[in-house]
Amino acid sequence: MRYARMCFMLAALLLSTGNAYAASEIEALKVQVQQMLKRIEQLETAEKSREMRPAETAAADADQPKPATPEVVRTNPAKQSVRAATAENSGNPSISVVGNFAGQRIRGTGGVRSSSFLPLSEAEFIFGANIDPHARLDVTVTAANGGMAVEEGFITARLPWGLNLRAGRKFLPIGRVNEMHPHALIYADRPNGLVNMFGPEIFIGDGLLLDRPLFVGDSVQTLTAGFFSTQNDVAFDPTGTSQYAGLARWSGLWDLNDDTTLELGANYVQGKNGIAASHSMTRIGGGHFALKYQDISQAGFTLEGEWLRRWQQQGAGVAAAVNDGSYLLATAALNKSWQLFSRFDYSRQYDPTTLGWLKESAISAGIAWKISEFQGITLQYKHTRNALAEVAGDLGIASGGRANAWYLRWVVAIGPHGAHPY
Amino acid sequence: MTLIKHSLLALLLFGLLPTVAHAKLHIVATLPALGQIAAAVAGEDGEVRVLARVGQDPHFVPPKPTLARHLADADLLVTAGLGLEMGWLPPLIELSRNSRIRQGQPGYFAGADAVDILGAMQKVDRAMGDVHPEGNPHWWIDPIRAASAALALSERLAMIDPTHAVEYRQRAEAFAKRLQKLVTEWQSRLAGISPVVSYHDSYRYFSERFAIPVAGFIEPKPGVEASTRHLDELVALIGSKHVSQLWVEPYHLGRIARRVATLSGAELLTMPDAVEGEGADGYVAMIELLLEAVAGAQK
Repeated sequence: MRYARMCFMLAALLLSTGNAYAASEIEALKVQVQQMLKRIEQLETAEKSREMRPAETAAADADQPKPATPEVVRTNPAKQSVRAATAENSGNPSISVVGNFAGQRIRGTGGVRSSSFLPLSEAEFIFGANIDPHARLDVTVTAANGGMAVEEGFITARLPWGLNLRAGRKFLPIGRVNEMHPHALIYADRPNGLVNMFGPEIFIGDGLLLDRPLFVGDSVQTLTAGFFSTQNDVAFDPTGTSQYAGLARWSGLWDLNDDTTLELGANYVQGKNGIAASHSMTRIGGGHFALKYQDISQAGFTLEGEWLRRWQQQGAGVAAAVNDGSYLLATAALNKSWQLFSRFDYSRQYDPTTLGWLKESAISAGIAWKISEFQGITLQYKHTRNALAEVAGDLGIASGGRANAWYLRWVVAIGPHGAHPY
Repeated sequence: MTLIKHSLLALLLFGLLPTVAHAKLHIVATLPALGQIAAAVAGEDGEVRVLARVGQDPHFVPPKPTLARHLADADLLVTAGLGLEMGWLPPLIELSRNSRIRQGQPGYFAGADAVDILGAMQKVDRAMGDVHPEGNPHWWIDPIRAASAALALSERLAMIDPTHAVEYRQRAEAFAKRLQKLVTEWQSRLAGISPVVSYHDSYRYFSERFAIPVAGFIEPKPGVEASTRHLDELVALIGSKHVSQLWVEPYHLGRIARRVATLSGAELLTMPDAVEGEGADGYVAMIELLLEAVAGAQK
């Protein structure tokens, strides 16, 4: 009985609350319908008044914006120091991918023929971010020829007294071009002088580099010293075994006027080369220059060049191998998008058997089209004469041979790729 | 010996005191107009240097390492912000090794943080051209936003150099009032102006402030060169919308702009985003030059 009474009371309670809920919901719906009717009336009135005005006036009003009120907004900049869009990714490194699609057609002495048409010859995955207020990490992973490798990966530590310490794997700052990523260069190949000096690949070292920029008057002078190991098999150990070397470099940049700069530099590298048990040092010395002019419309020209000499000891009682490698490059920017260039490469190698020099030369010409900030196409022709061993191997011809090469390169970048060095 | 020590100390003090007493704030501005706004606020209490030159495209200033020498001893860096200088400023800040002017530090001031921004986008893709996702960065072309930035800059200067806080605030107030008066006068003079076409979306803040309708752009998308088809459509649009003026930045004045002007009959106006001149007078001269050019072409 008691149970039945409880059930009855519960049912009554549920029914009454359900009715109350339904009633309040109906009230709310009524209010919403009334609001909607009111809004429809307002819109209809507005539409009628617009129809009553001449069509031309209405069109003119639509085109003619109203001036913004000259009210100066006072804000507290401290509150807005970081905007949402950038803050979202502030914890992540910047990631960019550079695709290098490079085709070539080579015709050389001895019936050598080779060609490829715009394969993705290299993809660079570039990561970079500040680690903390004291240091930064930059890593470039390169995928090429079916494999992936860390091409560069180094920490930049900001030390006291304006010193920068770079630790890790890095393109070595020798001359002007070696430190630059190939996609940042106007031409599609590697200068023959550098190929003869270090091989077709960039001269890379694992170690420490210490540099200090100095602002002297209107110029910037940068002094660099480093100690590294390298597996370069052309300048150092032919077996590719790691060898240790030291590096010293100076480069200076002057403003000649608002549009023109002059850069000069010199460098020296020394280390054991592993060719023999004793008397096996490699020494590399050289210098570079760059004269750049660019006016406000971004038209201009550059003239730059570098020269390197390598002394490579071959062991006790054996004459050292001496090689020179150099290039001279002239570019003309017609405007923001189009550039013409021509390069002369010159290398020579001392031949102890004839007590003379084997001399190689090459001339290139090309055109570069910068489609946008993030892609560009280069077409280049190069004629090489009397190729020395490294260049001959790179072109697939016999030493001393000639070759005509055409290069077509399409470089694209996605992601927040930073500015290239000046 | 004591006499020598005291003399040396006195010499040192006398040598240093004038330097301290006359030490000016070193302010570096990325763009000439920002330098003029900064100079208007800093007055004699600050020395302003500018990285870009008058007439240079603010997106593509060559990052010459020699520019970093100005940043090395800067107390304050004034930028437009919104990624406008992203392509060239970061390597210069890095090279300068000046931690005071890094982003997030009191010595880094982005004017865009102090003004209302137009053109911000939620989703951005590079297929849309060279767009700035956080908004259009050419805000300094609007005198009222320039005034807002000047007021905010005075607060920042007051924070860095409290001894001259009153002077910074007074100068900023005077500059803001001058710009407000200028805008009020010109808004009525330019009322009912016919639509214009501009090369790049550099004048959005200016055109909205003075109610000048913009019918289209020579660039089909920001930073993208126009195709023949786009130019044909633009010439037709200029005719149908009765566009009388074609606004072009000095660094975009070239074959394409001239061709559109010739084909359409619209008057080609070179509209600089900065002119030579010092401080407030230099900035006002730029705005007046723009306004007079627009009003002159309308007659």
